[in-house]
Amino acid sequence: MARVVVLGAGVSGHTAATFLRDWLGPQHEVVVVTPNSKWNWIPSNIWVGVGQMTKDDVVFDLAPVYEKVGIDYRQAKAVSIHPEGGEAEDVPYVTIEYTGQGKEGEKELISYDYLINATGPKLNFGATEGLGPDNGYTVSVCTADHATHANEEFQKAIAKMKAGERQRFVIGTGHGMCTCQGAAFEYVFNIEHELRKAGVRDLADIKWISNESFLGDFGIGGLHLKQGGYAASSRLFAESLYTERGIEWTIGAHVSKVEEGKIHYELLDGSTGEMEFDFSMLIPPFAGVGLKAYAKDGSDMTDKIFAPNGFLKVDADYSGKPYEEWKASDWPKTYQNPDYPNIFAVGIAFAPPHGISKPMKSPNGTPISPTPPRTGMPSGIIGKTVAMSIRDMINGAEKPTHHASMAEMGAACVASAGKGLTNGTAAALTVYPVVPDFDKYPGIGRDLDYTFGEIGLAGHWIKHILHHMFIYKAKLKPGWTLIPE
Amino acid sequence: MSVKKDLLVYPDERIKIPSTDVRKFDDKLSEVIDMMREVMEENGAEGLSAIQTGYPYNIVIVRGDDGNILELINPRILKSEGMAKAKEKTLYYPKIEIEVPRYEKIKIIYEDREGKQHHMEAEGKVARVIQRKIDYTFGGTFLAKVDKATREAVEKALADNGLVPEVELCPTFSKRVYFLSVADKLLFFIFLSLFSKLFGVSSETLSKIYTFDKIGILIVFILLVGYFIYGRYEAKKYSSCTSCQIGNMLGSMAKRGVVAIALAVGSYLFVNPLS
Repeated sequence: MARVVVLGAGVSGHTAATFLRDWLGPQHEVVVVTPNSKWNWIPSNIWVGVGQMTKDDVVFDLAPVYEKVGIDYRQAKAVSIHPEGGEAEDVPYVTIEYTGQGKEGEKELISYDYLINATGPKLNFGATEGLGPDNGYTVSVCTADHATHANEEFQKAIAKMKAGERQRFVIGTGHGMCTCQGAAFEYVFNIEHELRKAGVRDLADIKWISNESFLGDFGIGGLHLKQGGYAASSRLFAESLYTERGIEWTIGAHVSKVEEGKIHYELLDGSTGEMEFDFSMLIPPFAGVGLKAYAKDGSDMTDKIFAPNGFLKVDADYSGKPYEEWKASDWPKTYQNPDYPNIFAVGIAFAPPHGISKPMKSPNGTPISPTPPRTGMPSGIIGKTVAMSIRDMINGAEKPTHHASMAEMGAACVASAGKGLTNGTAAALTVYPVVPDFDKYPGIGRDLDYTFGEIGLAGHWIKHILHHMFIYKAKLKPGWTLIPE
Repeated sequence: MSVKKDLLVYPDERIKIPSTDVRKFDDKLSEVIDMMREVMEENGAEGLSAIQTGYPYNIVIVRGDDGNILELINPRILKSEGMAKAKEKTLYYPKIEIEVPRYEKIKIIYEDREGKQHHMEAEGKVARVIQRKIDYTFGGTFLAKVDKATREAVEKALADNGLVPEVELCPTFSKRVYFLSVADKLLFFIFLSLFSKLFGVSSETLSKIYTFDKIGILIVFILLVGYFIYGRYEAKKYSSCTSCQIGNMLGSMAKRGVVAIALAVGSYLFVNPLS
């Protein structure tokens, strides 16, 4: 009998846990540890943030789903990993602290044969003073609760505009090292769309601020949409869209501080500026969730297992080579920890070897460039791939049997630019590979035969269909295994 | 000099290739920049983007206000102010001059030949040229910045001079349709066979018709698979043709697949002499 413990139940963790449960016989255990009681389809949070969906539309209770398929669900947060065991246990284990199920605050040890770290990120609002909905002045759409709060503030702004008061909106990224520009991109256009629907667009000044060095970078160094046999850059596409919708942009920006109604930022040229706002949604930077790791003798070995940013080290090249030497082969393939072969990390929880976009710094030394995204489709694919490897290792394989390098993987993305059955729009994009491979595809590093995009109403319908399809899949309803990641 | 000297002129479609950031600041980079300076001087240009010489790298050179040539590697426009229209010419579209809206003042960041990052402000004519050249590095010409009527007028003027883009043409007839055509004919005959019993044919003949139906249905499915495989081949060959999209093909296959299954059931019920 083997026990697989999955820390986290986001897209990648949930995918890994549910497939393992489906593939492994009842003699094996699958345990999921997550502090959340609900599963959240995060891509639809932007619609919650503009009042086009409610929180209930994008979440569901995990307990009944896991009970139905026999996954041992613990509503708890992981505290530490003990890969060599410890005084309490000779076998590897994790310590957890319950956040629900009537055991709030209780601690427990769970031993494991295989561990998948899928904790996702810590939303590091603390990295920028005044950032975030709890201790700051900006809203967020990173969780369903944040998005609900964002909508409340958004509706207040609309009410003020209906009363004739002009409002300033600032949407984007709240730090020089943010990822998830795509979510902010979706939100700014949904805000604009809703303001038009509400008939108050003329009273709104909408601004975009981000750490991208060019509009349309999206944290992946931009992408190229095939048109007429040639590629069009996402920069031209994005600039046209922002201009068409009347959204001003500031790029290459590190938000250094937020005060009530005012954003302070530094640009890549070292200059600083201020931007005033009445409503602002800024994505926070991500960090590891702060898991600790201990050796058998109890000594702290967090640095051995985790990268400095708190994400778990896997089979990537962390030598810190300069940009000109970055290669596709630097990226992990099996997501197995090099020191402890029974530990894997999936989704945002694995430490990327370096960025995808060109790394840049201001003359003051402030790094201002997007960090690589590991969400959405790649996240699900990585979760399933790791599950396949662990299944095979439980059945006798000596090493991981499946690979899913982001440098060999394509991804599809549907970015909403406004919700509506007849007037919605979304950009549907595919990119292959996610991480450019400059050796295999000289020039832009991507295969244009598999990189294309369109914007329009059909894209919105696809996004809406995907919303229902992925929630159906996550609820493990009949045929869920047939739905791709 | 090992780098080839070239100047792309309309209708050379390579101009639309998006340029990649320079990652290696080596001798080859210097050679490309030197070649670009030569091309620029020879043609009396105000500026040049590397892709205009056939090199898809983010390199722009521009003559500054003081007459010196500015070398901008991996340039990005960080800030912009004001918007104004002015007439522009570019080497890519010979003898064409149109009004293009551009920012009046810009702030850019860029790197030099050694990879050191710099920033500068530019306004007026220099700002205008820098913007045009940066657009080239992202695969855009100045026609991307003007309205449709102007764009069409320019394209017509170019066509009148015998300059027509080499557009990839989608064939009006696809050979993969042969697969569907044969499948449709087979399905039609199978459909007719459903009425065989109405004509009082013998059991032996019915048995033969039933065998035809079974083989026919099998061939229909083989043809549909062949249609898909050949369609994918064509999709690769004519990559800009929307009718080659996989969705269209799956739709055509699904429709005939459903009909084939329905006819198979009908044949089993109405043609099979043993039923």
